[in-house]
Amino acid sequence: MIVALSAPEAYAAESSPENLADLSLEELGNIDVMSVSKKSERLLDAPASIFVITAEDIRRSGATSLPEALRIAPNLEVNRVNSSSYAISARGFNNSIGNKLLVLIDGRAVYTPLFSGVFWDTPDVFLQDVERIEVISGPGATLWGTNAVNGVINVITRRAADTQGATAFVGSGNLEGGFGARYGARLGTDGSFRIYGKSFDRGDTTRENGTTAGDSWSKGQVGFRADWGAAANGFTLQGDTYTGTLDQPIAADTNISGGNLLARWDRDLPGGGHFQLQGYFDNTVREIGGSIAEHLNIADVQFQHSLQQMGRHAIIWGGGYRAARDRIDNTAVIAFLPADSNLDWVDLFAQDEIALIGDKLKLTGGAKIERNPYTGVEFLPSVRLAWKPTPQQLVWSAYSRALRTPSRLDRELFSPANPPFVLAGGPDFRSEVADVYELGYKAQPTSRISYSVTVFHHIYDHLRSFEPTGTGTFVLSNKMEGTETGIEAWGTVQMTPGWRLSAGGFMLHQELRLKPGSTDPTGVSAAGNDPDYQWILRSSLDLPGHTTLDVSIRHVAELPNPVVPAYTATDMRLGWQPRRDFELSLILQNLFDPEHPEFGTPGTRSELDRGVYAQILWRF
Amino acid sequence: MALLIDVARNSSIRRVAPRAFRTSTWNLIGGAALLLLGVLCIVTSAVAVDESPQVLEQRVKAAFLFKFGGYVEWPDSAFPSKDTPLVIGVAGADVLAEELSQVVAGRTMNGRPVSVRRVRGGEPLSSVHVLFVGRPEMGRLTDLAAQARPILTVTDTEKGLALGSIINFVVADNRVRFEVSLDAAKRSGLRIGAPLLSVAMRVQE
Repeated sequence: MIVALSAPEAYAAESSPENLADLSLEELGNIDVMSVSKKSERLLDAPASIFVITAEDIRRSGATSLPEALRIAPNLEVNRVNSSSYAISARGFNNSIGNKLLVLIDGRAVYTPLFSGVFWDTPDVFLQDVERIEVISGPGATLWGTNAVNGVINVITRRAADTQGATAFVGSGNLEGGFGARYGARLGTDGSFRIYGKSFDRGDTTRENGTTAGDSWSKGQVGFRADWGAAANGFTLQGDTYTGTLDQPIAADTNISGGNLLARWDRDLPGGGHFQLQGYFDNTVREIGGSIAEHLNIADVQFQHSLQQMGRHAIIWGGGYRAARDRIDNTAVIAFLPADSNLDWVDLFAQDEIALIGDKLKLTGGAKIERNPYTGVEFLPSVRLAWKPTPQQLVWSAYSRALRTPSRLDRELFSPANPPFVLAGGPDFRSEVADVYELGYKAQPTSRISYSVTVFHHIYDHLRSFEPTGTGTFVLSNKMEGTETGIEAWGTVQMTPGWRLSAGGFMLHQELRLKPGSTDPTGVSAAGNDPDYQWILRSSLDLPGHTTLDVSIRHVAELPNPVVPAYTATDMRLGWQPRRDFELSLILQNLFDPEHPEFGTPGTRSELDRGVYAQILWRF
Repeated sequence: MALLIDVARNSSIRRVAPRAFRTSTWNLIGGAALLLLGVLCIVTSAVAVDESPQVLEQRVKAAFLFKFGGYVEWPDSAFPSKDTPLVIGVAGADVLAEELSQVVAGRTMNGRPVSVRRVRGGEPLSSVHVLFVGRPEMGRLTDLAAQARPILTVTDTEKGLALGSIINFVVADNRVRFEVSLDAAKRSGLRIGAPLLSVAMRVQE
């Protein structure tokens, strides 16, 4: 599996022949026809469970934030916990401190080594400049490393050359309001850049028991991207900085801030190979009112070398180094000990794609060796077989071994801060292991229809448990195991040039258990809270008079523990674009439902209200 | 603060109810939706037809072929009357011809109707204004160039311009761009407008 993927069938929908003739010569020359690129595979050719959210999908969903845009992917569980917090996962184990999903924005990992998960109030992009979001369910450990256990989310923004000119939007509704602007221009003879800024306010949510959750928040972010040369042979520099304030019902406000700077150099090598070198620096500060504060600095360098094709073999290898300096201001109740931690990771990977029978049968084998500061060297192998009986069909299967290596939370969390401890870290906490078997079928029988079906079986061992030591103290340990079996499927039918229907969903059956010798009093509930199934239906319709109507119906089955009732949410967006440079949209969320909870403990959990939002967007 | 809430939840002692599959109306509807998807898969597999995997690229090229007509001046002899249609010929590229037919359907160029003609080997080229020459038909180019007819020849191979075509498509950085030979245009008696030249990736004098 190659990192860069594309969605030609999705483009085919928005670039119908009738519409293309309306574009200018310049606009025609800017359409990405990636399907022909050597280094990027067609979506259909990728032997993995991948759903691609296109820029058009995001625009027509009316999503105003990254987590809301992720709801489009049928292979993700996206639960909004309250105004600012989300629980997002693939293939189960959903949790507001979920730790089995790797999230990247333009190649920058945005999870924290504090708990190996994502604070979803932090990562953000100028949504109009996103080219696509690749959502991979299942392990991607060979290429992406530990933590890519159950899935990878890859947010890819457009190149600066594709975001020239100015765009501005302002939106307001009963739950939130925001505005933003971007400007892009040429830079010298073969470069271009863009700068952007955005800001939003999101209101309080109300708890089930009728009280306010006091969780309104606001955030502002500015950033830039500059590209020189071409994607395959060029240089990119990009960065963002942000600051936000999150209200808390009783304690003082929580403040978040940070910034990052990333440089990437791509070079096509003589003879057909390709080389990429990327480095970034990422600073995040999170000061939780009345609790701990975290100051985290990360430096990360990676390289990847695709060798020129050698007979049947296409080899990619690479490696990386990542260093984190994490400083925690502890409190009397909760403490990370030691408070300051310097962590580093080194990895090396290689992958060989072997064409057994031309393009018809391909075997991909790969492995990653990664050294982490807690358990030392770990080995992550995977093997994939892809069979293409016709150019429009793919049957694939894979075995992968994925790991979640310890985070600071697993090893260094203490409560209270001084002895005698109730919770005394996890001195012997080891890596969680998943052996994953997948079988998938994808097809695009005509340019109007495409679909994908994947069945999977995960075998987990050494999952985190919470063990009493017998002296009134608990430690974090690895005495949970289990299996997970499921199916995920999605498909799209272009009914007419102006009407597209999509459907997708998953079914999941988990059997987790404590191992002999475990006396974890919380049972397996801490591992996550997942529905047995969920599904989503979407309709995208072009109406006369430059109007578009999008409807999405999403059903999530009951979450078992704590029980969150099943719900069905209907979202609608009406867009009116009388001219190319002006668009008005009206977005209705939870149309037929005054409010529902998506996650958390009955009574005190937040409910999500019906939302109305209007947005105006200009292009200059 | 979700992290601390979850840590706190961990330390509260609760028993866990065994998990069972729940049945409800939604379960049925969800199952039906997946079943429908499955049926769709089977039905569509049965009627599967081979299509070029690079439809979008062909589609963009087709749109270009149509738009070029608006930026080129032909000698008066090429359009005997005011409503002589603009004829775009396609040789050796059936997928492109198919896409082009959809692009031009119902459209006019500078007030003229537009028609697409598939040109087979040896067919006369009278009244063709734009001619796309696919790889299998490259041999025709040299003849055409020698005849110096007022036809805007377009190719999509590396050697296109060298073989005498006026415009050649190049796929670079995943985008369809094109290069123009002013010399070849001049020999065919065509004038290429400045807006087209300014968008060209390369202009050969």
